[in-house]
Amino acid sequence: MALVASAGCTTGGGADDGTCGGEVCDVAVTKADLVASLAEAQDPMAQFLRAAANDAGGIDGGWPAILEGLGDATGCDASTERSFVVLSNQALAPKAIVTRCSDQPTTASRFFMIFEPDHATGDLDESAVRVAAWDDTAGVFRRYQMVDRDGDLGVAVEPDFCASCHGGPFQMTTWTPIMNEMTNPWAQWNAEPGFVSFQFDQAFPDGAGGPVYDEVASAPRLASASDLEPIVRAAIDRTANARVAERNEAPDFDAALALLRPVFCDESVNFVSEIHDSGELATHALVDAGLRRAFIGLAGDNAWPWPWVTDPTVRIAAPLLVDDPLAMIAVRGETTVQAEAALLSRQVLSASQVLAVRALDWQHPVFSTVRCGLWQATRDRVDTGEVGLDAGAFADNAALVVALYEDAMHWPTAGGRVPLRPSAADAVVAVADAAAPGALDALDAGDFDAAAVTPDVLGEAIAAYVDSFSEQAARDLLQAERQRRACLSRNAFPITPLIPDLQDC
Amino acid sequence: MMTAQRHTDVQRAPGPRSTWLRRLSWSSLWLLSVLAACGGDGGGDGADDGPACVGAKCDELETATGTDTGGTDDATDAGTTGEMLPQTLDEVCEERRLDALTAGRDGMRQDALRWSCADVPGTPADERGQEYCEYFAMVQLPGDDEPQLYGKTLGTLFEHGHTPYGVDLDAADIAQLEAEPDAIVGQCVFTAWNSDQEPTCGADCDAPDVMGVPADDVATFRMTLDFNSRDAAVALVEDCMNFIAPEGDPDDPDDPRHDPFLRACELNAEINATPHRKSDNIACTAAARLAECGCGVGFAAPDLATALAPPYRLGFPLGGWADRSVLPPGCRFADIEPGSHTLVTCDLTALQVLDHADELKAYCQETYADDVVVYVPIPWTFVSCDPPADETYASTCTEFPWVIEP
Repeated sequence: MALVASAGCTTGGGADDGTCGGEVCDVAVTKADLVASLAEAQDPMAQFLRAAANDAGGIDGGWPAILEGLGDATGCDASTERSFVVLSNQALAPKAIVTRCSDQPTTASRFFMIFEPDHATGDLDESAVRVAAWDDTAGVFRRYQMVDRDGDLGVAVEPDFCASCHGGPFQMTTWTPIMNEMTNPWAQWNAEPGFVSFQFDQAFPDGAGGPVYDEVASAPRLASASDLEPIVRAAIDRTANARVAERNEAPDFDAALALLRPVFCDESVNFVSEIHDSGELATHALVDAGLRRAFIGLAGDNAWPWPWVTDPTVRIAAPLLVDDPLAMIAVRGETTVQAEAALLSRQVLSASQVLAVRALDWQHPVFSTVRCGLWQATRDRVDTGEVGLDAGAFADNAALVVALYEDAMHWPTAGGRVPLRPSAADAVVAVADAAAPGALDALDAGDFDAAAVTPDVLGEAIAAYVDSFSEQAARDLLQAERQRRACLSRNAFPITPLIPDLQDC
Repeated sequence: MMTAQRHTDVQRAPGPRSTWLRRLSWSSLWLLSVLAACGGDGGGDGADDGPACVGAKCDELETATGTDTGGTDDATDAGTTGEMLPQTLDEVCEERRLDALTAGRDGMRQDALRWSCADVPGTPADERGQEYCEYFAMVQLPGDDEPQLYGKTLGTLFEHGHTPYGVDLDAADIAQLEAEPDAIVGQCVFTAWNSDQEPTCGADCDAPDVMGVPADDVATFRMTLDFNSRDAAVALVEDCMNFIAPEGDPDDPDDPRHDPFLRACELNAEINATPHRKSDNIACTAAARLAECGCGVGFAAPDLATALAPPYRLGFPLGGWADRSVLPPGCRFADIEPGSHTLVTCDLTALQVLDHADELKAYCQETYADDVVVYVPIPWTFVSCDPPADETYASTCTEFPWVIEP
């Protein structure tokens, strides 16, 4: 297929460091080429492009024409259009996301239009806009990158450039929307109207903005991040549902390992902040959302007396007058949490099985090498054939996932790999902080009963841990943990936002 | 214009109840509240209740762990039957103050008092719905003839129970929900329809359906808890106007009781034992300030309590933080009476139901409750104030004294 940009490769927005953003080479130069590249696509953008592309395989009328076309394809008129602005991790230059049918999150999640910063002008780049549009048939978001050409916008279909950003450390190839902060106060997002912007106002770069920004991100389009949150959640639900549908496919080690991975490893991260000066903080800054979900799955949320199970937020000691609210604390990513939840809700894994994983190193809800190491060991055993499983012997991926889970739940002792299972059936092996001196000694010795607790006891321990953050001194501990997580995130995830007061990693 | 007539108060002209109140520490009062809890159907005019049960907002308490620690009373369990964080009254009041004054969620505005439907952190799962707003999930699985309610309270007290919280899904249910993931199969329902109010439109209501159930269906959509009644709201405002909040030490400018919210919180704790509630503290603070500043309402209503909770209104209207008329995405009003805005429903897709089947009410709380806001409109153009010369805090009265700034 002759898909070559007329003027060679061009930057597709984003950073130019080769890790995120980069060059776009595959731009159609004829309508036939463009339409051919859309052969499999059944998303709203493909529908629009087939009808609206010019003879050169481009789009006339710029981004407004694309937006109008996407609106027509989804049945969402311009009155439902909303824009959302976030400070990017490129020198905090603002970028914008535009949706339609914005008051209907599920419908709105069928496409996103993204405006990247134009670093030369400080404005938004009105040419290098991106579109992600949901293909219901394929169960994926399809990606499109527009590039500036003489007189029109060229279109690159499914360029590779975003995998390093959205794919995370495991290089996942399916695109999932990333909204770094999905809870109030959305520190680096515009939160108005309705809420008060936080770091967004303080850190908005001098000189940023311009005519495109004014057009895209002004009333009546401009909306609060609170309104984007449910749209992104709906998009994540879509991708999690499509992903877990793989469980019914013919057994395949790679597919099954990928399905199992979110239970053990961090495929994504999100960030949460204290709600202004209130001392109110998303619970999952302290306790993994998956752990909470596992407890609810065991007996329902009214069976447990602890607020960390029943409440989405917890109270920590409010900041003193001299303190700033804690902002941008890395937490387990929403896409990861939902992928795990999908395994639970489809009854691929049980709540007890998930609890057994998440109870390990539970004071580190994100970035636990202990948990991820278990999965990585099994992946390595699959690669070397040591795992001793015949994929073809399983009915489907769901069954293979369970077998791989059982393989992963082994602990390496001096005497070899031992099933990580206490002798009491109702107990779970729990480790609060795997990095603490001696924390893993009992496990290394194969004495799992020494670390075994019932869910009641584990829940009490977690409750006491959460309560400890009501003390002022605990703010310093949380600040240090925030720093640790931020550095780990920066190393693993190119999408990590810029955190203004982050110390050197 | 009618001016609020301030009752005799604890400090200056003790009547029988006032005298009784003066003789008890806060925690002792709570303990007595336990022993003489309202119970039964409650309701009625709070002014006629016994001394330890002031107003219909009084709750039945099963436990009390209060100990008299001289100003740092344990606020545990006040108004609830479950286990909550052990906190002192000072701590609880400070938290409620932070809630009410947090940027963007300010609860005390010129034109309205407001708070979200979300119960405060620490509220037991089976005691949600304490903020003049009850909520539950409504789901109709593929193949079902009618929707089922999940987490709906079933009586005037929490102990009367609730419908199941979670949906039991079998493999066929899962497959059907996955097959149409975007289908709207349920609603999170938020209702502020007072448990003692009837629609005035009667058979002419012409209320819309919510998943096939008329929005004016009392059994489904009216709040049930006794303390979510209009009577309770009126009693709360009257009580907080009629009794003087504990005043700060005039020689100690740092005494927290100089803060209008904190002293009203103590007052509310004394008379209602609900310092943990956002709603009661915000309403009590506004009422206490109106009284401190000698405010009255003009011809709009016979008194301030009636002005804030007029009998013709089904309940406090709901809205969003940005605007009373703007709800979170996915939510809409289902007006029982035109413009009543006491019922809000928010979509639950098949995927959401599938992914949160075992905790649907909790999911409604987590996803929507903090963005669905209860409004108490204030007819501020009819309110005028003339601070009495002998009021301790008269000098702090502003044009709109119920507007408390951080």
